[in-house]
Amino acid sequence: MAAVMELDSDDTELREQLGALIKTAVDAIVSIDSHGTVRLCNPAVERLFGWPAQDLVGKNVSVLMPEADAHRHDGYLARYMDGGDARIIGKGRKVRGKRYDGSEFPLHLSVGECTVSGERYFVGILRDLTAETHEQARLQQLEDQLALMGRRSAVSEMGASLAHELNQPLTAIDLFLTAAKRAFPKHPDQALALFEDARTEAQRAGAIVKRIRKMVEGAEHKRELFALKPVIEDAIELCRIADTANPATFEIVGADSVEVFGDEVQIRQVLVNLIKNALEATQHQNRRDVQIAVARQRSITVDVADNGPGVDQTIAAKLFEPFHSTKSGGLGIDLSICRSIAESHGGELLLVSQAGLSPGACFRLRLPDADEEIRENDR
Amino acid sequence: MTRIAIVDDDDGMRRALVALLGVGSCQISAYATGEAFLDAVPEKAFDLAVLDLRLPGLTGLKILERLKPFAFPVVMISANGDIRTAVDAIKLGAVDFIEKPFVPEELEGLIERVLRERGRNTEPACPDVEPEQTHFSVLTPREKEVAFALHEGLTNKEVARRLGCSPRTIEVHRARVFSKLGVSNIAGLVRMVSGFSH
Repeated sequence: MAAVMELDSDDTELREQLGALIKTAVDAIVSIDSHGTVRLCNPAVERLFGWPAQDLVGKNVSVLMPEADAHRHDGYLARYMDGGDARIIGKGRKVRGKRYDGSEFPLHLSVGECTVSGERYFVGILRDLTAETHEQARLQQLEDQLALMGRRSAVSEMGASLAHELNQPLTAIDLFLTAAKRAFPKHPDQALALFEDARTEAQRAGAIVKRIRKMVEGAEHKRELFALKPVIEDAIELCRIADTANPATFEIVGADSVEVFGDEVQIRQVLVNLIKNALEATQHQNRRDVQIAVARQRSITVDVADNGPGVDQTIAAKLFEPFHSTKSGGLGIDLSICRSIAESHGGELLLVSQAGLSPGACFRLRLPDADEEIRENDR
Repeated sequence: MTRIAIVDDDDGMRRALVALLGVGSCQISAYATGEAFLDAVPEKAFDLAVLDLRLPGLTGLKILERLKPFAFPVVMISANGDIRTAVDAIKLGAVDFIEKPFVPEELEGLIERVLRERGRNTEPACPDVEPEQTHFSVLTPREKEVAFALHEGLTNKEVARRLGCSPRTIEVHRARVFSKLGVSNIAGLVRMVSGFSH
């Protein structure tokens, strides 16, 4: 130990015990004074940061921080001493640390405050999160892969009808061009207008391909703020073109100006699956209604409801378990993937009975409100 | 002047059909829904209708059912692979169907043929024309099985599974059936078998 704090007690046994406690701790323990100067640290600091413990004592604790934080630390400390709000004291936080060799790593820091002989000290306990972060990244990677598999399986199930949807504009292009070719000698103006029509159809074909690509491409995991309504519209469009039964009526309620913080590709995937299920549930009906109702009350809920026969009680219990599909074809993992996507966004996916259309099924995707989260983080 | 009705809910397809068929001596009326089309039928005296099988609200098949009292021929446009519905449409009185994607010449050829046949024969182009039974006696028992399975709307693959042979064999049988009966496609076969079985 580089320095031993003065203890009121003369009890050598207690001193030794305290010393051993700090010395043998796996987590790094650093004590600083009100100026940010390191007064005491344990051997674990050496393991974590590569700093010789005795060299660290007397230095400003900011040497253990990356540049950006190091600059601000003195300011934070001074403000707190002036009676400012505690940002980190009394609670734990994930921060980045800087080793002796300059490399950075993630760590968890919790700080307590004490007064010894009239002087204020701050004691920080630091745990290395490198392994955990690796583990989390790996888990995230697996989750992303699973989500991608889900998207691909959704598209492969839709495959034939997606191809058919391309037939629509492709046939129209041929018809427009044939008409234009015939009109050209005598009515070139008319032919020009028909060329324009053919272009519109070509662009429509392009849009269909783009939409399919959005589903099958392995998007990098990213979290961003995005408007919900276009994603709902996209999902509807994709499902609509893959639906071979009598066309359904779609209604979007309350989605204007709602923003979600998350992975847009994955949220679209959840919606595609829910809408696809709604369409499958109603495929033999004459009147097919699918309603997507968005509500914002502390959290954001997206209810996907259909006017189908509803979900049977016995099936409802196992609905979100993988490989429990009641449909032929498909692995029956889609809903369980959707639920894990919802959960990885800090939300949930449920079958709700007291909502939606009656009769019919209603699935609710609940996501945290982005603004709430920002407010929470700023606190 | 030939009056043709086009019923398709897809804006692009509908406008493209109007552009293609409207160039000649035809008078084209286009409708986005079956309801609008059926409303217009009594007063328009169409010579022919081109009807998409997949429509919102009233489906192509429902429209055919309601069209029964009217005597003009109906050509269906079906989604690729949706043979079953197309076959049902023929049974309901549609004269023929064309699968998407098609080239303009195919549709024009079909319309021309239907109008020509209709010019010769003023009977409604429905399956109530009694075909000669002798037509079917030229088929072997196996070919008859294949013909009836196709008439049910099964695909080659499905027929093969039912009869326990390879799809390739079914293709050969199918070609024989078509040539022996003098029909060019599944629609012709269905019309003939429907007449036979009624």
